[in-house]
Amino acid sequence: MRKVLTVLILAVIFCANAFSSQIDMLVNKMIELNLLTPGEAQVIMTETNQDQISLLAAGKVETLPQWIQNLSMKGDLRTRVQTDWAVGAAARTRARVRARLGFDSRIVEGVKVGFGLATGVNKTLGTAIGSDVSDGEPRSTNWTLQNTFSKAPLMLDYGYIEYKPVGYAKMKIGKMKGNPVWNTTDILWDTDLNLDGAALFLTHTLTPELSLFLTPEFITIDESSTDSSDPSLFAIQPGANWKVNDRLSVKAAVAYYAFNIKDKVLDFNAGTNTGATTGLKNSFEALNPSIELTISDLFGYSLGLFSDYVVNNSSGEQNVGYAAGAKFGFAKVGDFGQWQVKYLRRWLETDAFVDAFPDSDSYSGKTNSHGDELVFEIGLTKNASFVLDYYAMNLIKGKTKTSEKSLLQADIVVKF
Amino acid sequence: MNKILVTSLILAVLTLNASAASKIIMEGSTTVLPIAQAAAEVFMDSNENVEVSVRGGGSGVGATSIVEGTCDIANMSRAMKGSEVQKAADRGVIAKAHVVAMDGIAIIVHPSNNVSALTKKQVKDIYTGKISNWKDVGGIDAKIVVISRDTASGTYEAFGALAIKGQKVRSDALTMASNQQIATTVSTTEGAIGYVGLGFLSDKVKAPTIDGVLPSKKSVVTKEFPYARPLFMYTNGNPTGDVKKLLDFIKSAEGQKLVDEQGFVSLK
Repeated sequence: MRKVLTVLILAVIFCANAFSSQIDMLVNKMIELNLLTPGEAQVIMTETNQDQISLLAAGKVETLPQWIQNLSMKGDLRTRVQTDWAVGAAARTRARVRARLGFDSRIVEGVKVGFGLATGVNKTLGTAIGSDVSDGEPRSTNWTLQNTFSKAPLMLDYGYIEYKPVGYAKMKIGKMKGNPVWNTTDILWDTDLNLDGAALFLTHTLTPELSLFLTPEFITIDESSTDSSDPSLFAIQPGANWKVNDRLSVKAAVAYYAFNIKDKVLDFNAGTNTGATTGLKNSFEALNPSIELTISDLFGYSLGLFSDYVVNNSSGEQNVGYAAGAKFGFAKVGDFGQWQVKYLRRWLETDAFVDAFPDSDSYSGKTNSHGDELVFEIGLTKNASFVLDYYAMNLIKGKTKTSEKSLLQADIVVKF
Repeated sequence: MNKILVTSLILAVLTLNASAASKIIMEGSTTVLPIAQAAAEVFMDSNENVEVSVRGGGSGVGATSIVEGTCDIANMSRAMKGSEVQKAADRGVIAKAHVVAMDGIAIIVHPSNNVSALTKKQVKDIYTGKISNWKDVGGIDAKIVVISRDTASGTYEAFGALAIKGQKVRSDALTMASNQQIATTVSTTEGAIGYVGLGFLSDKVKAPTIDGVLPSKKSVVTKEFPYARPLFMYTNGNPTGDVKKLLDFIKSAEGQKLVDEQGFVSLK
């Protein structure tokens, strides 16, 4: 009888579209009336809550419109104070802000769309770049606080369609979020870059500990009404994930890049590749092995060792780059007091890679540069952190007494 | 003749099918592992046609396994993360949670200790090294002897997640291999503090309140006590057949008795 009563009451709850808090209240009342034990109540409340999460994820909650269940949103806001130092020049300090808002929605089983908005500067090409050279580039979403409180534009940062017909294959097309090809560092690809084109993600699980992946992509770099051979990129990256044991995991891959950009001048280039401003002298056929080794518990903390290497085989000289580093601390900084420190050694020769793509904070995104980067991050509260990022950089070739540059960024980042 | 042959073949196939054992794979949390193993053994004794295979690997492995369809039941010492639930949904898997037990950890001190109440922050500070003297938590001026479990134990894992939020236990903490060892050491060491499963509370040790709540079976199952968490088994949708029978058994009075025997808090 007690069970029947319980089921009836719960049925009434669901029919009345009650939410979890209301269920909690009613279940507590039933404990008071000795209809349920605390243990049974805990089971009902926890399982109901988990059921709602699962049904919501699958878009099967009958009491909510489908589009709400299928839509997810996330974003972040970053405030930054950045100081640039150059030998023989006055230090320059800027206050900057970045806001990003992203949405994705499942349209039908296996099909998703994602799009994101972000701040930045909508620079008109062909005009003077102005004093804030890094703004307006695809490699930056910063808005510098200037021009008597001028408003910041919010632009489409990415927008893509994702199709996943089977568990082991996924395809993306459009202005994709980031670079589908995996890298351990930003020495080749700035993390603000969102690549235009299509990519296929193939995965194969050999054992619970070992899985393989293969990512081919075709990227459109530019379009010209007068040139039938538009700048483009074909890349393919095979790789593997190996969980050696509970504490050690390894991810490794080799990317092959074949650019169609020889004799072309790319928008937003950094002017350092051979022929960057008159017509590129190299076709940039680059090989890029990457590896990341993670020890999840070393004296109670996480240690990551990682490296990227690149060689551009279409150039006979100044064609090598690498980045190698380590990070130590909490695996993720997500709450108060959690911290992580990271060090990265950078080296990128003149024609090692296309100069329109590397990290824009590293010697203004130029090739023919080398140096060190040190990052310290500490959690301020849940989903908020303070980050210090320091670069000390110089030229590889043509080094002078005034070529050394450094910068320090102090950020507060809040995610939601 | 042909009819007889076909009939014989069909009968042979049906007989083979009838005698073939069905197999249930349970995989995931090492904390839930003892419950799963004990339940599997007893269940197989009374269900000879069912073979239950139990594997560890951790809760994350269990979540991946149920999403990829390589296990029937994912054992987890935490609820599935939003990303895991979403990944499951994307693959057409509706992750169905079954709470099978509660995990509760009591803080214990020597009976002569005048500290009867601690806060979560004080416990965390004691175990991470910020507090080393009882006078800093309202006690006498005496060094705190911190006792912890070996890192391989499920209790250590649970304490790390619930009490010190994944931080490292102070380096001068004494390490014990069992709940009983901790209870015995605390009962004979005046300045000691330790943590044990609820089954190891006795009048030889004192259990201070945590944020005003005494550790008890009731405060653990209601999650009023802060160092309490549900233990889960996940299936793909509502279970059917032998998987349902096994889960029903674990949730039954007999199954919950096994939960108690393994040092966890039963739901009955």
